[in-house]
Amino acid sequence: MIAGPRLRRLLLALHLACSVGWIGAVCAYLALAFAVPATDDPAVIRAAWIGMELVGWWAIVPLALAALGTGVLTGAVTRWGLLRHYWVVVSLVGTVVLTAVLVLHMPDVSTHADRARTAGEQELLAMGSDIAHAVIGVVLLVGILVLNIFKPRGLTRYGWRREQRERARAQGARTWPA
Amino acid sequence: MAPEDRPTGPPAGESPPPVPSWVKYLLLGLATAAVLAVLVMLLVGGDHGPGRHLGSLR
Repeated sequence: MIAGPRLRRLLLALHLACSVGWIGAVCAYLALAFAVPATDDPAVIRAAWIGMELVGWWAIVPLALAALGTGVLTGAVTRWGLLRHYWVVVSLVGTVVLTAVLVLHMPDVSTHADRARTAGEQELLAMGSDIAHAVIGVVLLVGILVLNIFKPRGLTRYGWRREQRERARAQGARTWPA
Repeated sequence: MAPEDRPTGPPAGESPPPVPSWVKYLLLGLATAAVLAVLVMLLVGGDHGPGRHLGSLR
């Protein structure tokens, strides 16, 4: 089913808001992650870990799920489809993998945040941070964003078969006697 | 994915189009990055990997 232009624009607006919001939330997480090795104040380390847990569960995870949901919906109700064009397939697979890793990683963040809540000063100063995950996440998310803007050409085999079928159907309709 | 940017139809042909070169380069780049990441983890040490994340589900 191909949706009308109003619904398509609404979905696109929601998808853009969620996707760009996801990148922004990971940047906020990254700022907190960088605060840990940059300070020798245990209170800042405790606050940073608690902040990372809150930003992760209440901003990054909901925005990731919303970006995935609105992206799938947008693809399903437009002519782009979900499996017709390589750039859509790459974006979809990348988003699914990133969301899965995020959801699997967040319990680890909660464990660290719980530890930070009760840890003594020496233990807090010995705690590591979580910079690598956030950096990799931002790089891949920006990569997917660039792919979505440039939309490089390339039909998948499935997309090509669909186009051939639609072309044949259109030709049949044109040659149908009135 | 702007609805105004409509997909352009493929050139008519009998056989499916080949995998675009940008997809090949992208896959090559991702595979190289993954191999490098595994090598760094092996050389530096540590317990990082997908199993670590799955551990929290058990």
